[in-house]
Amino acid sequence: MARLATAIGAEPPAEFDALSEADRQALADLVETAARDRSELIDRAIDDSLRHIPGLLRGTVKRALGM
Amino acid sequence: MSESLDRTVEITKLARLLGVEAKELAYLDEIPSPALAAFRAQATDRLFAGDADRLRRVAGASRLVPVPLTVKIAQLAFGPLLCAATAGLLDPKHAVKVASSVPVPFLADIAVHLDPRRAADVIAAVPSPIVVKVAKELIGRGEHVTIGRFVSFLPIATLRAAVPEIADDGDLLRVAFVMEGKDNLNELLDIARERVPGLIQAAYQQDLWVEALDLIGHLSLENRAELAEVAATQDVEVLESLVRAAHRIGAWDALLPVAAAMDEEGLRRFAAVLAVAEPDVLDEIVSTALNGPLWLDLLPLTAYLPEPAHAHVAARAAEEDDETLGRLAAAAHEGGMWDAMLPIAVALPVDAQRRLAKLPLLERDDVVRELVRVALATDTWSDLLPLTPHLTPEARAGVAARTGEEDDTVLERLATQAYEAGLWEPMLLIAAAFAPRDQERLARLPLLQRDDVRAAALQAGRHHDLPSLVGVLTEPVRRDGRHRRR
Repeated sequence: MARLATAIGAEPPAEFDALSEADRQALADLVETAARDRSELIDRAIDDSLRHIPGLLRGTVKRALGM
Repeated sequence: MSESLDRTVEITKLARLLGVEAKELAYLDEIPSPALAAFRAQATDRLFAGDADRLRRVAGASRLVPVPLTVKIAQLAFGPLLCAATAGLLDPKHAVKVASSVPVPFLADIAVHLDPRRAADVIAAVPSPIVVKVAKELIGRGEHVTIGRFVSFLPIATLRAAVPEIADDGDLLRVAFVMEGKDNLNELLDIARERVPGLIQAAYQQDLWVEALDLIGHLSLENRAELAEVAATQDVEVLESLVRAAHRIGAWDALLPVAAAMDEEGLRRFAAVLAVAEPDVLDEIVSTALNGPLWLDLLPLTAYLPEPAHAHVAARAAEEDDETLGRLAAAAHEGGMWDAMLPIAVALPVDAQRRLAKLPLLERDDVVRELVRVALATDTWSDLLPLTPHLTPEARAGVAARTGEEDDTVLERLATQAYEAGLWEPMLLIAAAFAPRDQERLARLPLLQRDDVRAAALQAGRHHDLPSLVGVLTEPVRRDGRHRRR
């Protein structure tokens, strides 16, 4: 259960205790993979978006983005 | 029923969130739907909150860029998933400006990934015409799950504009099935009220009974009654299909209240369909009614079922313990449904009849009086009589007292029915508990002037040791036809 709790950042509902260890593991993997994919997507999107910002604005936008 | 369906819907949504096929989450099949919903909310929070800081900065930066450029970047760089993740962080006015300039198919892409809880203000601010276009686009893509997530977040005026644009009643059913916040289904039905017949037809023609029965299960009593009215007028094939589906997916808990809300003609038609259904259909219906709070929903229907079905219902009820039997009888009494309960009680095996008659409930004077009243009002005296020998003497005295309130014409009718139905003995047991005045009235009835009837009465009276009754029956008859006291 601990692994699943770490993956979702909260204590899962008690009913999930009924799952086998392997199933809880698989579910935790899916959540972690989805979170990782999303993070990578954000990285790429921010890089891509900067290419579309006119040079004049790029510095301001970068600062707003904390880069 | 709705629990298994709710689980299916929850698993579908979780699979969508995690970017996998629902079948990959088959191992969650046994988890109750509220727990699945709670887990999905946690997982959503995790995915959306994980990059919250960066996304907040992106949202802030978008205000520095002219709207047309934001629209361009949204499509070329961000894509729908990140636009969805950012939408809720934008100022609603700014978000609406951007949304109004984005092509509808792209907005639909965003909607697929958007968590409406996180963008409620933005969603509510989007003008109806745009929502309608996006809804139509999503319907075209078969994205009922997405629309279902949004419905509860849309203003009623927007829903009024959008629902008529969803032309296919089957699509409405599909959306309702996966809708979040199903408490709002009654409100949605208000908007689509004139489409109820179409919804039933769509369920039949497109095999969407699972969706339809789930919808029914979430409706208020008033709306179920309206649905029942429409359902009852459908062709036999439609009703048969509905019964088969309810049986297949175990949805009698949703359908029984609908049946209970049908009028007499509807009940008759529905019962006729059940009568020719497989025996295990009736078994399942009765089990559902016995195991939950639906006994009162089953009773009106049983009144229209043929006698073998009464025996079937009775046999199943007889398997229950005294406590359950008491609960069923009490529910029937409180629901004013002894008229439907009585034929079931009559069809009970003798042992169960005894148990029923000995229940504390049946010793209550108000219950006994109601039983007699119903038997008289519905002309089912000969149904009640077989139960009376099993009553406690006090309860039988109650039956006698209530029956004695009737005039001679009624007494004659009751006695005649009893004699002709071969129920003379239970009738005499009641008569033995009559007040002396009522026993005399009985002895003076035309029926009792027949030698064969009087002889049978005397024989039974002596057999059961009923001296007061034997006494009044053997009194000499005065010339004026009245018995004389010794």
